Amino acid sequence: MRQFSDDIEKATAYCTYCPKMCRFSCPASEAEKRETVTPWGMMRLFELARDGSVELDGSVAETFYHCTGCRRCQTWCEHDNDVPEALWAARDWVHSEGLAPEPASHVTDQFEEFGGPFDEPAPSLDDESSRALDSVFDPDSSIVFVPDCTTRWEDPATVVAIGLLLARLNGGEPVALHTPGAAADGTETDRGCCGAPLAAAGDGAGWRRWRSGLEAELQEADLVVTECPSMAAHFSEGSSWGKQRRVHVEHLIGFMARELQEATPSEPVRLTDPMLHDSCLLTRQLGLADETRQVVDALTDGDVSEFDFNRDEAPCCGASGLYDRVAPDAARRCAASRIDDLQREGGRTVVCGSADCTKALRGEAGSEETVRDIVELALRAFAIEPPAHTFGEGGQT
Amino acid sequence: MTTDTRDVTEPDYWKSRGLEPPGQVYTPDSIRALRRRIAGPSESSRPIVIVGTGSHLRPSAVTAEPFDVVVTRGCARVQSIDSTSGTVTVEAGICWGELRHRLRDEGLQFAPNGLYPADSTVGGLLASAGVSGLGPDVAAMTACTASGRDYSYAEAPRKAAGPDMRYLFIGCEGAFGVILTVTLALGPRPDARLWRFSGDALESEDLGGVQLIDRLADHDIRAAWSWFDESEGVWDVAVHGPEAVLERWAARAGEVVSPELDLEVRGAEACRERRDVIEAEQLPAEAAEKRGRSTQSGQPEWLRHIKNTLDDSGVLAVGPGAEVPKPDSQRNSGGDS
Amino acid sequence: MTLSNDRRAELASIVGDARVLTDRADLLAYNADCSPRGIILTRGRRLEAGQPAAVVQPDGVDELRGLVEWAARTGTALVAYGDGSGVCRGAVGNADSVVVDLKRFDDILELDEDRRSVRVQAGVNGYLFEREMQRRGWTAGHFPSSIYCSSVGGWVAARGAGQLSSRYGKIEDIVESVRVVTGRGDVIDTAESPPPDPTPWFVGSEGTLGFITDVTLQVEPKPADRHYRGFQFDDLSDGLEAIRRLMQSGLRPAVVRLYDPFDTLVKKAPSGDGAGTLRRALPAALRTALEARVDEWGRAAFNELIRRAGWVNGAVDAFSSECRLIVGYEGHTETLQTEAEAGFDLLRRYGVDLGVEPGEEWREHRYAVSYKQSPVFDAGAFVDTMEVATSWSNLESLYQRVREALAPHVLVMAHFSHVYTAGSSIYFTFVGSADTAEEALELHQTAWRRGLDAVDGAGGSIAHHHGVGSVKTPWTGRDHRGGEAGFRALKEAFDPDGILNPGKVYPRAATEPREASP
Repeated sequence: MRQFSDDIEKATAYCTYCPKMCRFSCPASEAEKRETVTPWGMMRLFELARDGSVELDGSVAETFYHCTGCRRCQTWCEHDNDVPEALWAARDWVHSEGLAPEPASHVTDQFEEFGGPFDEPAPSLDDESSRALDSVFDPDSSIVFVPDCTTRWEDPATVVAIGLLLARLNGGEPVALHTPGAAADGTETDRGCCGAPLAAAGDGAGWRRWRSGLEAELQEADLVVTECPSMAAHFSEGSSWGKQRRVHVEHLIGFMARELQEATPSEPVRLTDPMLHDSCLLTRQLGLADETRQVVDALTDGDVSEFDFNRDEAPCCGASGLYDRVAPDAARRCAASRIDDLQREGGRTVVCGSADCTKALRGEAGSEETVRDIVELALRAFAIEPPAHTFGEGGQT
Repeated sequence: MTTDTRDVTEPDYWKSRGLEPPGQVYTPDSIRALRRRIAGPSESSRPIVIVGTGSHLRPSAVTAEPFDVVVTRGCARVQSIDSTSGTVTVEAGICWGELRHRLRDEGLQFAPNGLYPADSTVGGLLASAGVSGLGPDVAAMTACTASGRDYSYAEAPRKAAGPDMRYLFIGCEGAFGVILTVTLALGPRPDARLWRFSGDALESEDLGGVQLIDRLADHDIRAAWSWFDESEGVWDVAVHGPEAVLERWAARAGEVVSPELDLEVRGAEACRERRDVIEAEQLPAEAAEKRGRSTQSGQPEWLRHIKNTLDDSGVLAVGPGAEVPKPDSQRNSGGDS
Repeated sequence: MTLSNDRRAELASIVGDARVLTDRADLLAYNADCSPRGIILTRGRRLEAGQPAAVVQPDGVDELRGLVEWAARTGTALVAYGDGSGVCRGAVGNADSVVVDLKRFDDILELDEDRRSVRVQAGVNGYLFEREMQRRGWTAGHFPSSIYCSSVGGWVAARGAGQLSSRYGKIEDIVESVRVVTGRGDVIDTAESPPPDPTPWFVGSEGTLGFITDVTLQVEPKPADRHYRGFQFDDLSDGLEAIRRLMQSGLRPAVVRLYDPFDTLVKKAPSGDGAGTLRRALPAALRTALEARVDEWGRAAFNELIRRAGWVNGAVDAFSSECRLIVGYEGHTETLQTEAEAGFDLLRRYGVDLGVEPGEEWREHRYAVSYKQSPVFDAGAFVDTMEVATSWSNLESLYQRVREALAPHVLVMAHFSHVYTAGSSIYFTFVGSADTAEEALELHQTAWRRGLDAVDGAGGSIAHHHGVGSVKTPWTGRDHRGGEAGFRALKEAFDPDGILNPGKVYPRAATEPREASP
């Protein structure tokens, strides 16, 4: 019998005996339409595998990866079962048995080689952009900005722009930047990501090492700000995975909600029939639903409508928990479903607060204008343009 | 030249409907005799058409000639009244109007929804395709298939014990067997009002009957029945309920339906009288008029399969349009269940 | 039967390779619906029972017809599966069958506001469907306690009922027509079919006559107003008399739920000096096990209590008689308030008005009951429900006879939650405990056998809204005496090869190729 925490063992037992009351809320269950990947199906399988009633093999192990970690099921669970917490533990177990599916084991390789969940290094900094960085960031600041790895790899110019935004919100005082090519404490780091993908992959040992290393690098900071919801969730208490905290990490939206009371945007953004999509991580893992609305209200010039399913009830776009790697077609259906919601409910623009959500929804919307990221709105509302040539092409090694 | 009589024992009844008169007309006077006539040994080789009073017979549903006729009208007893449950059990040959008056004498009434011709038998109303909304009020029934199998639906207001086998008889025009007895839910016994709407606005398309009923329903005002009398230019609506509720409804009704209409509120007795007239006179006339428009509709293949199983000897001359096998010697020798 | 590679390839050619599920994890996930018997089997790690040879996920009528043709050719049983929330093992197959998961039929096709109807595909989850209707300002009025975990097609296939059935009716009162693919591969839209209307045969057919693909339901404007209250009666007879009078008065509540003394005791601890030891201790013990995970000591005590079922049931009979009622009116305007007040006034003549709070509390937690079974099973016991129906004059007798039949074996409580002018359903909840899985299965079977024999003996209907599945098949023919001949006629018409869910609703016929029973 494999032992887990009391909370996890209670959750797997209660889910096993439950008539699947949360099934409609699960993005994987809805996208794949099979019982196997309902929270009931995955938790029951975990329960049965724990005592050896079901032999652990590749197909059983792979099933545990059909959870986005969105925690939506918990909204309708009267037992408050934390399914992501349990299934991340299950992944940890099957990974240690060498049974993790290939997309999960590949994550470990990516981190070892490139410092983040990508198949290439983060874009490098050239001399000119380094000078730009010097003017935007202050390595001595006690506030450290750790960019979302999706932003860092795919839209590096925005990293600098966010630095300008943070300085504006911080009474004109620049903050420090912690990312490959620009270490907060003046030393280099190879860590372009918070490490959450390692946890999602089930590489528990790798994740713990990565987190310790990152915490050590950030230990001098009074406050770490990130626009990565996953990092904030993994380094904050109260989420499915953030049981311990050695550094104080705050999501950019929480930071903005507080600081926007002092700093007023110069040009609130006008949007066409906007609706607010609550990111799972921001809302159910971090509890920032109210702050998200405060920020959106401050940054835009009109009413942003609510979806019928909103806040803790909001559906998941399928972009997290490695679900987009393990079941890419189903993950796309999750995002497409939210775009369908937008059209059915009469909206024309969806606003969201996570780079991963933005990317997933844009992939299905077919137009960048249809999906607007809150960070992008903030940059526009404060008329912040990222310095040209901040990050160059090619790899940072 | 034929006369459009409603008497099924008269040859003219059948001729006026484009059918040859039956070889024999049987009028069994007990359920046992009725059952034997349908499922027992045959006295002729002719298949059977089952009729109540014949008011809803659809000639195009008759599939074989010559035929004999079995009239259920002789089985018209009220078997029991359960005043606690609010149900009445009757032999299916009893006429609707007669039953209503019998119940009224007992201080009872049917679930008030809908209007039915007074001269139709309860079994006929139920068996007629697309005529009756009484099905949900059938709390129990017994029936017999042409192949001699008895069927009994255990008494319950609703159930979920598989497909609803009552509907092998309800709405099937006697294609598979005959309804013997029926237990019907009686209605609430509250006060009643007759609302008479009149005015030029009734001519408006927006004020068609269905829309008017919907408007009332949207305000939780439930009409038991309604009747638009074109010649009088009056739309009658019957409502039932405790007095306080009826008063509240009446206060809202005019505004809800249309402020352009005049509304006259009459009492329970007027309501009852109006229903009597409609059911005894206007609905039978309408039913006869509708019958004249009856056409043969295509019969699906699956209906023939059911027929071949439940009436494998072709006892009944009603059912799918496809040819029904002719009985060769005799019908089934009797029930086996 | 292990699906051969050739057979698998044939299925893949119909629905696509990714939609033929044969992995162990998949087959295991489809070995049960939500029946307590299935949970006992799972808890006892008897996992082979109910596992199909494969699961297929068709999308569209053409694929369904292809599956039917394949099944007829190969003599394979097909078991329709929606959201799998049934509690009678109606959607459970066996190693010789292929489960047809219909969840990809997942569109709300057309809301016709003029006709007040909606056409929806069978695989749409019930809660997502109703939620979308309400967003558009409408309701279908069907709110089963399984609404989160059941499909629209499942509602119809099992003849379900919702909590607001007194206002909206059962599903057969709400459904207008269905579209099915039969075992002959025919597509029948009952709205377009000439008479007789076959809809009532497919409603409640539990996948034995065809695959329901679309359903057309009546809708009403979403209610904007509601009035809920609680009442208390000295005993069950008073309570039953009150709700009968209410239903026969012409007033139309949306919700009527009368709890028997045991259920009342469990739902709400009695207050006041008069509450005896039993009346305090029993609900406390039960509620402790229902509300939190119990330790070993608590687990032992809980099971010991349940195993003394005869004594506990007798003690409740001896010392407790009060019954609680929840009644609610829902509607659209202030006319509703007049009607609600008239109803409440009537009830006050028979019992004590407890005010708004119990009613609102029930409404707020209206789906909570389904969550309670996890702690019971986790603590080592089992819980199941038996929903039966009869006319008013037979109701109390039926209640007593079933209770007496079950009382020596299991804790038994009941409520009356679907009421009509002519009668009511009775929803028995029974809780049992045994040392081993085998003994638990035997006890569970005994409870069902004794209970439904008693229903039959008392002249009631064996199923009000859970359907038959395989659990109740021995009794279907007693509910519809002589009905099996009719069912066989329907099978001949719609499923002559007997490939559709054999062994469900009625016992397996000799001509059916294989049995899909637990």
